[in-house]
Amino acid sequence: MTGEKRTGSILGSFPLSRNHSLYVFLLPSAAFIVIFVAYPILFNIWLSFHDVGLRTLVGDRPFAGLGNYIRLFTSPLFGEVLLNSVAFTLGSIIPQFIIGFALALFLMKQFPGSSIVRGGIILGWVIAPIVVGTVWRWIFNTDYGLLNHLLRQFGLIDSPLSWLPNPQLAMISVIIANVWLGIPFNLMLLMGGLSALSETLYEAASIDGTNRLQRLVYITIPLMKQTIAATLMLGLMFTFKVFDLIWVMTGGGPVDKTTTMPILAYRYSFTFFNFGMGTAVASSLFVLMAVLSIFYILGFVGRDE
Amino acid sequence: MTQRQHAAIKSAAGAVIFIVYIIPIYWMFVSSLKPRSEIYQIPPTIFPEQPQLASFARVISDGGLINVANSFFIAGFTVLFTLVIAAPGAYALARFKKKWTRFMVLLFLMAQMMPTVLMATPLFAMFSRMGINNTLLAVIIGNATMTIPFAVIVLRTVFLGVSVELEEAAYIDGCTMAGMFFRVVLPVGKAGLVIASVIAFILAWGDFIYANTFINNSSLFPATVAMFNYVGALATDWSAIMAFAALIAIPLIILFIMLQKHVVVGLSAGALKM
Repeated sequence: MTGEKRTGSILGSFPLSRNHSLYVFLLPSAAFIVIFVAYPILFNIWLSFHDVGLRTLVGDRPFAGLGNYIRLFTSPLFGEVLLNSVAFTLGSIIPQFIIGFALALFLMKQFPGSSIVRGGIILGWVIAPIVVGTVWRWIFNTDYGLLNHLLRQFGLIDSPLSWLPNPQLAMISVIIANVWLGIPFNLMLLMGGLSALSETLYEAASIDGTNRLQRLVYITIPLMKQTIAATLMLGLMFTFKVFDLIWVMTGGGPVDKTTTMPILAYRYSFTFFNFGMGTAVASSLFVLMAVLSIFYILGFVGRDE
Repeated sequence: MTQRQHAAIKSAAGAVIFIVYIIPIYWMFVSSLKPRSEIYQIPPTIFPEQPQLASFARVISDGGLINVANSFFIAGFTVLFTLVIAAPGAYALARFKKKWTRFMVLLFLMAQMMPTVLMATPLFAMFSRMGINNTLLAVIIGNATMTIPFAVIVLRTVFLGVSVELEEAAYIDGCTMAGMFFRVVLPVGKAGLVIASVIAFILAWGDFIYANTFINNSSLFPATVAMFNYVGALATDWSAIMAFAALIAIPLIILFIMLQKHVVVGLSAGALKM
């Protein structure tokens, strides 16, 4: 990042960085974050220690102690949901990353039409996730869906598979849709990392007679370590909190096979109006996200300052 | 193999990748153009045999354009609100040289990473106490919890690159801080403002969870929520659902084609959603 190579202030004893008006500039955004982000998070944690239903959301909320958490952690559903979340997250970020990396390597060298290909892929990020989920739900449709049609055309299946209603296939289906959704993000971050690598190093290596695979394994990947780790870490956080896509494709079903933590939190709160349980799930999610984001910040942010 | 042949092979491979990736978007548009008789044909037709706009007409006669207008209203005001709040804050964080500035920046970064499901319940409770549930304002504030942290981070980076000497010169010339901000800082940081606006628009336009949580009056639904309710209510009318999906996708596709460069920079700059 630029801008830090400033010379002395021409204002002498009263430089801009000590101007008190800057506090006025900062106030609105700081106030917004405190009132509408920090306070709600704390309020969410507070709610999770209370019995809160629709009628008690505003007003008297009986203290429940650890009741919600005990109920949550001892229910067999919670273990299953945690496993679903892990399966969904790992199942998504690994293929997303591999495909994104391969595409980034392919699209780095310009060729006629390369920017159109890149633009077409970024479109996947621009379109609302709820729309993406809806389209994939239609593609996965058992009788009229495109996927079963194509699979039959290529002779891969004899009779149509029921993707989303099938407990064994539902998770795979939402993962496929989410991989599609996540490719643009991986592609862009990795292309950003690749374009920062020095060309001369490659030229030297190719003179030394290394082949393409050797250059990838011994030069590109080691040099990209930081970018790769950051991409995977962000992928982990963003995938863990995916909600819209699953909500519209399966709603968490069939028989909770695609219920992840965000789905469970939302369902407790806004399907069953058990806000105490909903906020207990959400607070668990918060702790997890906070830990991950602190790791991310410590590891990858701020070295450029 | 000549250089030219090499490029041709790459272009061909690129075309295949493009087509494979774009299939879901293609399928959305094709399905939206099929009449009801054709959409339930087995096997499905890859190219519509009788393309028509009847499903769009069904969506529009159900009030779909009102929902799209609500989406424009929500996204537009989210962008406005975001810029007004975030731009001065980002500037302050770019100019302050205090120990806690870095800490503040990291707080904004963390705020940006918080899941929407986490915010939905406490905001719902706060808004019902404030009496603004079931208004578009509630949705705009909800969206701003994602877009303001993002905009602060992106704009701060941009403002760090604006020359301090230029600002101080304007200040000595008798500009007030506000005058200097509007006349020197914002014009120089214009590209950053466009990036923050485009990304905020995309996020607010795509919001589902906040609108679905805070709004229960169907005439106030944005298009995302109205389309979602179609999926539940008319699970059989897939051509209408796809027409609705296309109505949501088209404005953003146009926006993207117009401002592709800014979207790309924004996507890489702010580690955002996936």
